[in-house]
Amino acid sequence: MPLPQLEHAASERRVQLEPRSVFLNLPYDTKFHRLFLAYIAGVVSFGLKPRVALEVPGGVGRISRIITLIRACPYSFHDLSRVEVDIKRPHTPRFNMAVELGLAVMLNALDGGQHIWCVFERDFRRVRKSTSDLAGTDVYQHDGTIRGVLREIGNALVHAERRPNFADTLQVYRTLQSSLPAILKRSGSATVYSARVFSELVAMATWATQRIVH
Amino acid sequence: MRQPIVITTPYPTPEQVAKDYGVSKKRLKELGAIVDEFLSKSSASRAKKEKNGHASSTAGARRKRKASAA
Repeated sequence: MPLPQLEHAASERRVQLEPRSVFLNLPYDTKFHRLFLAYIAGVVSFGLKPRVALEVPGGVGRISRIITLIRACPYSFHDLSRVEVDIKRPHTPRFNMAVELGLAVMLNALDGGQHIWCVFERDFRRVRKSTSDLAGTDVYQHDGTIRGVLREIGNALVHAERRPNFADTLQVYRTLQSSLPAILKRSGSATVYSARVFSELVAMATWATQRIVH
Repeated sequence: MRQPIVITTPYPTPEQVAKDYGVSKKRLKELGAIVDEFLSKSSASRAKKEKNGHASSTAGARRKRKASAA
């Protein structure tokens, strides 16, 4: 039987679509933080506004709010490179990314194909094994590198007005990377994975894009 | 490979984005100053390299220094 909250989120008709928003479904672990910055730099360089589950408060109804967030975004990028068994006890697989991808696929089906989702992986062969139901889907392979993420975002997106090239997106990334310690210090956060740090990174990336991308 | 997604919406301004994400105007100015300082340093460093006639990578420069020290 469906959960009442899920039912509500799926049937909610009046979700305001934010035309520039892209939902980023990313793992939040320390090893991933540079790629996290690369995703922000990459999508902002193309004039998009990244949205993440970090913005959604925890607790009861979180999944419902995530569904609402994905529905508000015309696009979503899903990085499955950390879908693996967690080395910390208990040794469980990490399902969050796969669950959120499933939600996006379902929303695409319900919304008549209006929600566009893209899968990113460090090695496309992993998807064949971990999520074989996606057979036939194009996977953007980033090789687990910053340059790979920026390259693949450049393959996934084109802007009608401006033409951000690889060097531009890399420069936006470098700006974020060099400024991160100052942002963390001011926010008193030890991690990049907080709503406040994320907001400041997006604002900063937008500023840098305005200076770099023409 | 699938066709790329064509984005047709205009680029948002930093002020619009700051408002959407709850970043104050004052903080946006501070963040902008950090960005401008980085870009200006970065462009000065690039100009210096070009003036010296080499655009070697940091790793390359490190290797050269190591070799000359040895």
